[in-house]
Amino acid sequence: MSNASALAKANIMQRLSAVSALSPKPSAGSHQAWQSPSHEVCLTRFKQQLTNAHAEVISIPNVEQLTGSLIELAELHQWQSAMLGTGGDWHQLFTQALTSRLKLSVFEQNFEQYKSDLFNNTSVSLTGCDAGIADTGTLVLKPSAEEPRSLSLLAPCHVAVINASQIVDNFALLMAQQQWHQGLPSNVVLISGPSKTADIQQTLAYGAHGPSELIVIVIEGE
Amino acid sequence: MNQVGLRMYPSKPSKVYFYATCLLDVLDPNGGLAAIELLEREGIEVIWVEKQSCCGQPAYTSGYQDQAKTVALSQMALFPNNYPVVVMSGSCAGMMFKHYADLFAASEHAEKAQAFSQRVFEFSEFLARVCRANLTDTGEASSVVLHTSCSGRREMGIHTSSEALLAQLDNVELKQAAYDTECCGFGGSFALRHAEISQAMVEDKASHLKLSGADYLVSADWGCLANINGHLAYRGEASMFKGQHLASFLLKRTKPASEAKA
Amino acid sequence: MSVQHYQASQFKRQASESLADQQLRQNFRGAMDYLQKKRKDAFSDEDELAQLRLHAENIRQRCLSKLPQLLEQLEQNCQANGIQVHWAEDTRQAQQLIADLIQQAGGKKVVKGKSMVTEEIELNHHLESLGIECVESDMGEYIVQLAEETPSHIIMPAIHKNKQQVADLFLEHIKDFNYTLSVDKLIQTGREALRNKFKQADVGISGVNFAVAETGTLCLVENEGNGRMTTTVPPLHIAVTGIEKVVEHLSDVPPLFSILTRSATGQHITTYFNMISGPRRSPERDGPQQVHLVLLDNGRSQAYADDVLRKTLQCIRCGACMNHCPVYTRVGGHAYGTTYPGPIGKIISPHLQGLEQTSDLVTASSLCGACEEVCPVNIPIPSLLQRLRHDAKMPAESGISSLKGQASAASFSEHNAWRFWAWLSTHPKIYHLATRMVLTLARYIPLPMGAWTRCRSKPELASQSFHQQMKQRANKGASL
Repeated sequence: MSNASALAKANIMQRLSAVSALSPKPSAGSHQAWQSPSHEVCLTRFKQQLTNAHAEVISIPNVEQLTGSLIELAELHQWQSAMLGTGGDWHQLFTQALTSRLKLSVFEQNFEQYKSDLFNNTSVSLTGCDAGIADTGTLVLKPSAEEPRSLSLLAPCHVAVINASQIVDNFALLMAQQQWHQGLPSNVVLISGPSKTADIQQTLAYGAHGPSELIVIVIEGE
Repeated sequence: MNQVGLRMYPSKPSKVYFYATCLLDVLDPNGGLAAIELLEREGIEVIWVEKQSCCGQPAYTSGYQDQAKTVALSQMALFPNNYPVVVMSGSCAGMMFKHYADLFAASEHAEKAQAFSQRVFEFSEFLARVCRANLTDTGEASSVVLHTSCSGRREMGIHTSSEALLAQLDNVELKQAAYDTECCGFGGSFALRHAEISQAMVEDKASHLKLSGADYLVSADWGCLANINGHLAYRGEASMFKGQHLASFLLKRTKPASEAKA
Repeated sequence: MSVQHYQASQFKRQASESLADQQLRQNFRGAMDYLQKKRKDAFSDEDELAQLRLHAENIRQRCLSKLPQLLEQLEQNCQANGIQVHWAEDTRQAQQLIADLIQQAGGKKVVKGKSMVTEEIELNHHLESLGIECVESDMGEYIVQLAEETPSHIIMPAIHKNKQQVADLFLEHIKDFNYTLSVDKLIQTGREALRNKFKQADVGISGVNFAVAETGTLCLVENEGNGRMTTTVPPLHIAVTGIEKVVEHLSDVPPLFSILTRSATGQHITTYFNMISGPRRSPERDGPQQVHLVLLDNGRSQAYADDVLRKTLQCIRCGACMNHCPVYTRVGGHAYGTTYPGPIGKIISPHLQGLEQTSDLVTASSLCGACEEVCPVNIPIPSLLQRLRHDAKMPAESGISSLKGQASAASFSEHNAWRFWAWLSTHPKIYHLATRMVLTLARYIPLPMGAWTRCRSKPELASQSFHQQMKQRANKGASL
């Protein structure tokens, strides 16, 4: 911290601390976040909320269907090129499905190497998810060296795969279950649909800066 | 006691104080007389304290709290007995109900102001929720649009009591105006300090009220009525649609058939 | 490039100009109707809303009650995470600090995510004066920047423009733009233009919605993805926030986030919620190499010092107060001449700019209370306006510290007029004599009504006051 910043801090802190000790009032009100009576309802809501937010949701009964599902998508969307991380739960299946069908790149060096490709020459990027939130139809991603942040951001289409068992009722519950207060990775991102904006005359348009398409594949069985 | 919204209401008393408000005093004495008649019809003795003047709101909203306090103290002193104070305007009632307590918070008068504020009732609130008046409509079929003051709506939460009273009138259709929760643009000194903005607001309000298609305009607040009526008259559209106090309208509608003509 | 056409001290003139602009008024009315409906639909359960508001208010008050400790904790945990923390007391310090950070890194090109705090410190203007390109990347902010304007709304910066006006602007400024009124195509045009900027940027500057002390985490709420771009692509990320944005626990975030998005745009959640707890950590492949947090005071500690005005700092910047304000709806955001327009702007700006500049803002309200009714954290905006009206006219009471510009609008004659009014109102005999005189004289002499009659006929005064009639009634009663 520079001298000027240290001085500014001292002055600000002095002004704030000059206020005689404030005692907080006892806790009041409540946040009744959505809770589901069963896992089935939870899953239904998760898919419905994502669909409402303009995401494409594909349910498959088991993991064996994943490659087939990806091959179908690749043909349907005519993807030319895809970007993957170096690891994660589905990495091998992603590779297996796509490797012979399109130009497949793997994020194994630093971002700067791929920047241009990610901006201009990638049709789709694929990732797993750390969790899902049913209440709001939300994917929770904890980007890592295996699955970097930009995979869910720069390509026009993002495909995310999630196990139904990863979906929890609401955000607060997820934080508590995973003990987020113990510390967080450098980036956690909640994604609840494709990128959008209503900045021009309150008219909704998709694909403002992030992906214009979000495809969520939910593996419902074991 | 019965609870409506956030407030507990006492059972009907035998005596009330009547607070006319300074605007009604000079603009609509008949509205005040109508209200007294309606209250007396409920078997209530209405006590008129001649020394009352103004609740202090004009000074308060203009930032002159000391002057507002002086006036507020003088008014509170005029109503010493534990009778309800029935106030003929939502904004004055809001001042006495909500802001007297704020003004004197943490002062020697805090307790007194708090106790006084609990005795304050706006007229329609009192008639509907304390008297639980039963009104019998004797007038011909017509329609009405209600304007509720912002203080009545948001400081007192009583926009529903005027509606409830009007709903008792079988031959009166209650019309809904667009943007009915929006302010008419009066706001006391605001109308003078920011005359152009106030004008834009009252123009819209008058248009929306007219567009409701109602035969009559009523309100329980003379601040709003002075503003809206003034503008309607300026546009040459006042005549029949000129706003009247709710009390005048209710009394006319519920006169025995021989006298009735609303 | 940032042009300051508007000033708080010129509010009346600016409001007058806005009122005369029918297109502007139509744009705002349409937008406010849309936003009001969206919010209403998002809170279908009134009890749930009441409980959540109370909870959100309680969280904000608790966090403010511990503000100094939480700021220390935030700083420690951010630094432990590798986020460098800086402090600025005012606009000039913040400008210089940020410029130094950029120049030390050899930065020439900056992209910005939406941040009202950087509008507050006029950062673009300052950086451009140093030869640093500074591009707004939120679509609304981008449009406003092309037009050389400032945002007219804190959530939807270009809300004052319709799509024709945006298309005209693009035609003027963007090469090879094929004129279209399709909003999809307009957005795609903006996207393409800005992707180049993201790609080339050395520095990304963002705001912060919640800064979590417990974990040293910066949370950003957005739909477009430009905030994520700004905080992911450039090698240097600088986040700027007011000191009041700190919250104590991560568990404080879900309720505040939920009530923020529902109040703002009626969304149950935004597309992205971006939680940053540090720069790229080895062996991560992407993310900025450096993250800095700038904590700005700029008048906030003045509001903090006062038990009543402190409530101003509870604000979570949802914009619901302006969306429901009858004054804002009619004059739009620019007329205020402040970074934060509308009701919340009227109670924040006096701390940023002083009461001397903003005394017309605090009176520009009918105190209708629509703002307080929708505020997600229950800020009593009308009461705070009344308090600021008082402070603009009167010196501070003993034991209460003076605000910047305290009593700057004091008027001896006005004060005397109210003293006389109070005297009159507490002397009933004279008061009623005066009333009678006015009613009598008004029959013969026109009353001086000033501004009242610019759109209203003179009030029709009763021939006899209520007091007079009650007196007669009493006399009659007595004689019967």
